[in-house]
Amino acid sequence: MRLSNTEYFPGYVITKHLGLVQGSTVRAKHVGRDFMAGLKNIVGGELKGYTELLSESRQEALDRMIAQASAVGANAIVNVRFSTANIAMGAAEILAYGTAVVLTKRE
Amino acid sequence: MDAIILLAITAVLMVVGYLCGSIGQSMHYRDIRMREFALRDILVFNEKAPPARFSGQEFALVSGSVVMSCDYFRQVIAGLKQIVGGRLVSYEAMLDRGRREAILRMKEEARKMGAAVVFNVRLETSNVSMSSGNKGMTCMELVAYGTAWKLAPQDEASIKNA
Amino acid sequence: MNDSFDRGYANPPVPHEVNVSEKSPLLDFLRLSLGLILLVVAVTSGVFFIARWYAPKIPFQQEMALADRIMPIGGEGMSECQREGEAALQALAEQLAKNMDLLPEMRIRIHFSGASEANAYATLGGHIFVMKDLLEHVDSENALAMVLAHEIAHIKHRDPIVSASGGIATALLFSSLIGGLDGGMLLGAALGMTQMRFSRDQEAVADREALAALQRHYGHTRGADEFFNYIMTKNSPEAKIPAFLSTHPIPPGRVAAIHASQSPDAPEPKPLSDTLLQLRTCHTG
Repeated sequence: MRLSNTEYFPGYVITKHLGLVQGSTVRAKHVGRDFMAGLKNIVGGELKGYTELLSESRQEALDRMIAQASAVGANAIVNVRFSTANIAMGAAEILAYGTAVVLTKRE
Repeated sequence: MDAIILLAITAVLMVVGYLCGSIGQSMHYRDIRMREFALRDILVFNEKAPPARFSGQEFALVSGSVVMSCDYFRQVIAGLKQIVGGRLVSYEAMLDRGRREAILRMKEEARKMGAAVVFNVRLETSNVSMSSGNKGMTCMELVAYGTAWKLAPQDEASIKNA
Repeated sequence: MNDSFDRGYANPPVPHEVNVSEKSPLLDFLRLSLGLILLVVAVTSGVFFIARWYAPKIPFQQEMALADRIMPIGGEGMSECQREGEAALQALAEQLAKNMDLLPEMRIRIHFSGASEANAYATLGGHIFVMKDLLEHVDSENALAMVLAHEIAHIKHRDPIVSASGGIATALLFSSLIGGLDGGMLLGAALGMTQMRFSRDQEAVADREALAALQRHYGHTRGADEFFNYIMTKNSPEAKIPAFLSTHPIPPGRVAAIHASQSPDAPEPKPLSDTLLQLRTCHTG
């Protein structure tokens, strides 16, 4: 599955547009991570635990979107967008969405 | 008495925060500058379409992200500054560091797949202060993502030889 | 461009510094906290002085209600003879008050306290506390009347609420700003600090008023200086100067003014009545 956040690909043609596909996940931090983040917050800088948590979530959202796209017979998702929303205490939703297409190389 | 203990803890946290925060910040900036130099050959643009040279080449979505927070001292200053308004210098530096870090991580992913360029780069900033807001923990997530393109093998060779 | 894939495309280094202000956070912090402190001081003193200016305009009924709420006074644990003595003090105070042109709504309430301290003080809501040892050191009713009239004069001029209002207002300000602190506790602390702190002018006015009242009630002011003389001659270091004299070192002028008002050919001061005398000896019931 090819992914891209553009819709224009020199050397390729989109032969089929299969519609919107999306993947999302909601993750909550766990207590240990939050505690460490609280300590880290005193000195500032990167909160590695949270970075990992959110990038794992983003990967999972992508995987779910890819699962939708393969189910409809696409080989690529174009115009992929991400969004992160902070829902309720200590939980974040990561959403990935795009258009499932069939992309073929121009001969 | 409780108030005095609370004040003392706050003062200690501020001093520790200021020292560690300043050291951490300058170390991070040094690291960022080194990696930016090392990755300067991966070009980034936020134009949508790559030039004709990439016609038919490999491409993939690449992204980089980082969650940043501000040290205690700088958070206190920012809190005070919010009363009077004006530039929140502490947050400026935090967001600048985070954004450059996110772009670097995206470039590193592009490097891993052997790409030469990232087009349609998008930058996103979101507030992920995960603990309940009143605790005053400011965490920002900075994300950079785009479409990385590989060069054709013959182009790559010609650039290397040049 | 050696490392570029195409002639028209390049990423020359950009000056990243433009996005971050070059300013020391420490300097910023100092400036901000100094500003904050100045602001707090300005607001607090503003509130303090506005409260003191407004305090005399508060109706006396409201002052009494406030006083009853923040410091309930109970006469429990008093013996029969103390109750009688307190009633006698109350009667004397009311006679004096008649000669002092109080506002009609002002009520003076005398409380006798068994504390061994030669002292009397006026507080919020028209309450006057008379302590046991005061009676040990006055022999005439006139001397006692002088002290009572002095305290009544404070109440007439609203001195207790003026002196308490600044503290109360700042305490309320801080407890509303810092929500976590106990407002009642702060209020108590503020009252404790500001109670009975009257200025030299307030004391002088109260003295003059009291002498005038004595003149009207007894026809002379002889004996008014008795308690003051006792205080002036009391030189032992452990001697506690009563609150109504302790604001400043007692200015010699104050006692001199009292002496000056006394005519030598006035009749002898009235001795203390038996009811008042028994307050010296009678114990808590």
